[in-house]
Amino acid sequence: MAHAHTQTLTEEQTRLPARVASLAPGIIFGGLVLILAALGWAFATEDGLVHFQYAYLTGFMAWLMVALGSLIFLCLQHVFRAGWSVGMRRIPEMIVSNFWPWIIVAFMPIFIPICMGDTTVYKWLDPAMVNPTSPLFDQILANKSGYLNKGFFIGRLVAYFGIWTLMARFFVKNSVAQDADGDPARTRRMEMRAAPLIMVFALSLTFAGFDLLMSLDPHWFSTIWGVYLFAGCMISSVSSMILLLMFIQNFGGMKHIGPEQYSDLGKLLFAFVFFWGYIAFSQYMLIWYANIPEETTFFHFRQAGEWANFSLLLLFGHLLLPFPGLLSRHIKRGRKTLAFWAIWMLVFHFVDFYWMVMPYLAKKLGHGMEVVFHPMDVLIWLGLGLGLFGLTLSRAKRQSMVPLRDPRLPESLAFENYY
Amino acid sequence: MVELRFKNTSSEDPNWVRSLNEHDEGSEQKLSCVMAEYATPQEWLAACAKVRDAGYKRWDGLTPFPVHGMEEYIGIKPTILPWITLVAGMTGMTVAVALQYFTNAVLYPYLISGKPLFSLPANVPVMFELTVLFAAFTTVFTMLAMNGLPQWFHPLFRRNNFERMTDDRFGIVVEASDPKFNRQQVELLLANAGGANVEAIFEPAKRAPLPVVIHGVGLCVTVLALIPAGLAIKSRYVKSDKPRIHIIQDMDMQPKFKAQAPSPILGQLFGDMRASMPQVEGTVGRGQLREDDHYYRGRFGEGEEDYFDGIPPQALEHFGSATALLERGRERYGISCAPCHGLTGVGDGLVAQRADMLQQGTWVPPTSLHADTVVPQADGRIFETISLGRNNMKPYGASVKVADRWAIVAYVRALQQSQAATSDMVPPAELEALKD
Repeated sequence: MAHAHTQTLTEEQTRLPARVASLAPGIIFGGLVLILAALGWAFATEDGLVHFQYAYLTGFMAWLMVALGSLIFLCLQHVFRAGWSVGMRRIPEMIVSNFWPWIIVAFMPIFIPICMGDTTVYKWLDPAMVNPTSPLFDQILANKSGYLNKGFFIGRLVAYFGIWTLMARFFVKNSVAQDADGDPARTRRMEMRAAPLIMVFALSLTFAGFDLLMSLDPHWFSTIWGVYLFAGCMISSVSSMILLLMFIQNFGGMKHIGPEQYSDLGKLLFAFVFFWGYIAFSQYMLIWYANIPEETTFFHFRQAGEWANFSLLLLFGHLLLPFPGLLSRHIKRGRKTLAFWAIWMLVFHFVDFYWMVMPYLAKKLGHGMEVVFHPMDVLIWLGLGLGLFGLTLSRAKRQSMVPLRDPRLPESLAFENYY
Repeated sequence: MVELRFKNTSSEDPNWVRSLNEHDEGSEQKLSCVMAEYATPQEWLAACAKVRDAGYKRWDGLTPFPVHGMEEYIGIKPTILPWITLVAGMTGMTVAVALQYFTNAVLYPYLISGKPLFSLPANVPVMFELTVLFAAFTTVFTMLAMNGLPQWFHPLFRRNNFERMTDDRFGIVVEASDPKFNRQQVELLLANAGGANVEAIFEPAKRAPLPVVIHGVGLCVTVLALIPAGLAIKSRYVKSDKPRIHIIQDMDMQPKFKAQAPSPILGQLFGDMRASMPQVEGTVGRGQLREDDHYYRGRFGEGEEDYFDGIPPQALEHFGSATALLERGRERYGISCAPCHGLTGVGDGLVAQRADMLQQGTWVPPTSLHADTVVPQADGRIFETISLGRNNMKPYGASVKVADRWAIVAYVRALQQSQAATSDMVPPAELEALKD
C-alpha cells in the first residue's frame, strides 16, 4: 500500500549500537555478582540455604515467564500475521534464544536438587510420604503418586525445557536465516507452525506450572493455575521488551521504533494487567464461594497475619493501580510514563511469584503468618534479571536488530494507530 | 424537453439519470454538497489538507479503506468518546454495587451458605458485567449518535460514482451547510487540488409518498400491539376467582395422589377420602417390629433411671466383633458428633469454635463427654440422647442407624476411658512410641 510516511533503514540503524554490545558482558557479570552475594549471605544466615532455594525458585520462575511470554508472543505475531510488530520482533527472538544454554543452566540449581531427591522445596519427593508403613505416610500423595513421582517429574521437566528450546530455535533460526536468503516461504512456514505450537505451548506451560509451582503444596490444586501464569507471562515479557527497546534506543539503536509501536506494546500490557486480574479473581472467587477446605488452604494462609497485607499489596500493585494508570493513550505513548509502568509491572510480577512461593517457606520454617523476607530474595531476582537482559543484548549483536527481509517489514515501518 | 439537471457522465446509467431528472422536474433546486473524486490516496490526502487549511468545517473525506494518518489530513480531532465510555463504565459499576447492596442486604436479606449478606467477592462478577454492559452500549450508541447515524438517506446516494468510494476511488464532499460554503470557490478548490468529476449535488425536490398499504399495516400492528399490554393492565386491577393461567407446567400437575391429598378412587374402596392408607390396627409392617427395648430404645420403663446398661448383643452381632464395632463407632462419631463435641469429646468441635468466635450470645456450648454428669450415665441413656436429642442437641435417630448409634455409644465409652487411662492399659509397643 502506498503511504505518506515511508521510511527506509540504513545499515547502521539495523545494528545493535556498539556501546550496548560493550555493556552487555558487564551487565551479565553484575547479575552473577548479585547471585553470588546472595549465596554468600545465605551461608551466613540461619536456615539461609533453605531460604536461598525458595528465593531462587521465585526469581527463576519470574524470569522464566519473561522468556516463555516472549515465545508465545512470537507465536501470536506469526499466527495473526501481525505487521506492526515486525520491526521489534528481534527483541523477543533474542530473549528466547537464551533457552539454550543459559536458561537451562540457570535452571540447574533447581533441577539438580530434584534429581538428588532433595525434599527442601518439593517435599513430596520424599519416598517416605508414599510408604504406608512410614509415620510420614500421606494417603493423598499415595493416590497422586502415579503423577507426582521423581522419575516422571524429571522426565516432564526435561520435556518442557526441550519443547521450549526447540520452539525458540525454530523461530529464531528461520527469522535470522531469512535475513540472508529473503525467502518468503520461511514466513509462511512460521505462520503455519505457530498455530499448533500455541497448543503445545499452552499445555507445556500449564503442566510446568502445575509441576514447578502448584506442587509446592501437593495437596492443593487449581485448574486455572496455568492461565494465571500465562497472564504473568504476557505482562512480564511485554514489560521486558519495552525496557530492552528503550535501553537500546537510548544508545541510538532501533530508531525506527516510535510511539506507535510503544502504544501497541502498552495496550498489550494494559490488556494483560486486566486479564491477570480477571483470572486471579476467577481463581479466588470460585474457591471462596465453594468454600471447600482442601481448596481454601491456599488463600486461607495468604489471608491471615502479615500475608494478608502482602496479598493486598499484590492486589493494588498488580491490578488496581496499574489499571487506571495504563488506561490513558497518552501514558502508553509517553516514553517515560510507559517505562515507569513497565518497571512497576516487572516488580509486581516478582511480588506475584513471591506471593505464590514464599508462604511455603514461612510454613516450612515455622514462621507462622510472618512474611519471611530476606534481602537475598531481591538480590537473586535482580541478578537473574540482569543476567537475562545482558545475555539477550549480547546475543543481539550477532545479527541485524531488524528482520531485514521479512515481507511485512515495510508495513511495520509505516505503521500508525488511529485515534 | 426537460432540461437535464444531472450530467450524464460515463459512469452513470442513462436510465437512472433520466428517472432522477423526471422526479425533480419543475421543482426548485436546493444545493446539498459538492463532491470531487481522486484516484490515489496521496492526491486525496494532499487535497484533504488543502480543504482543511481553507477553513471548512462541514466536510468529509471518503475512502474505501483506512489510510494511515488520514485523521491528521482531514483534521479530525481526538474524540471525547473514551471519556464518555469511562463515565458510563463507572456508572455501571456504581449501579451494580447499589443494586446488589439494596436487594441482597437491605430489601431482601437472605443468607446463602453462610456468606455475608453483602460481600465484595460475590458482587464483583455483577460489577464487572454491568461495567462492561454500560460502557459497551454507551460507546456504540454514542458513536452512532456522534456520527449522525443511522442516516437512511443522503443526496450522495443518488450518485452512481459515489459507489466507487467503497471500491477504487477517493472523494471529498463539502456540505452546503458549511458557514464558509460558496459553490464556485469550493468547486475551484477541489478541482485545483486535482479532483475529477467535481460536481454539485442537489437535494431531491420531492419525496415519494409512503404507500397506503404500509400506513394501514402499520396502524393495525400498532393497535394489535396494545392488546396484550391492555390485558395485562386489566388483570392487575380486576379480581377473578379462576386459577391463574398456568403457562409453564414444570411438572406441577401429575397424575398421582400426594400423601395428604384426598383420593376419590381409594376413598370408594375404603370408605374414607384418604390417598394414603393408615396401618391396619393390630398389624406390624414387615421389618418394623421393634420388640427389643434394649436395642431399639435403650430403656425398659418410662422412669428417669429406667435405662439399660451395656451394649446389646445385636449391635455386636451386626458388626461381627468388638473391634469392628469400635472402628465403626469412631468413623460415625467423626461424621456426626465431632463437629460439635470435638474429636476427643471435650466439646471443642469446629462448630463450637466458630460459635465461640462469633460470640452471638445464643449459643449453648456442647457438653463435654467427660463431664461428671455424662460419665456415670447408663449406655441406654446415651443411646437415647443420640436418638432423640437433648437440650440444644438435635435428634440423630433419623440420620444414624440403630446399630451405628450403639457403635457410637461404644466409642464414646472408649473415649471416656481414654481420659482416665493408666500406662499399663496401653500396649507396650505403642507405649514405646509415645515415649519418643
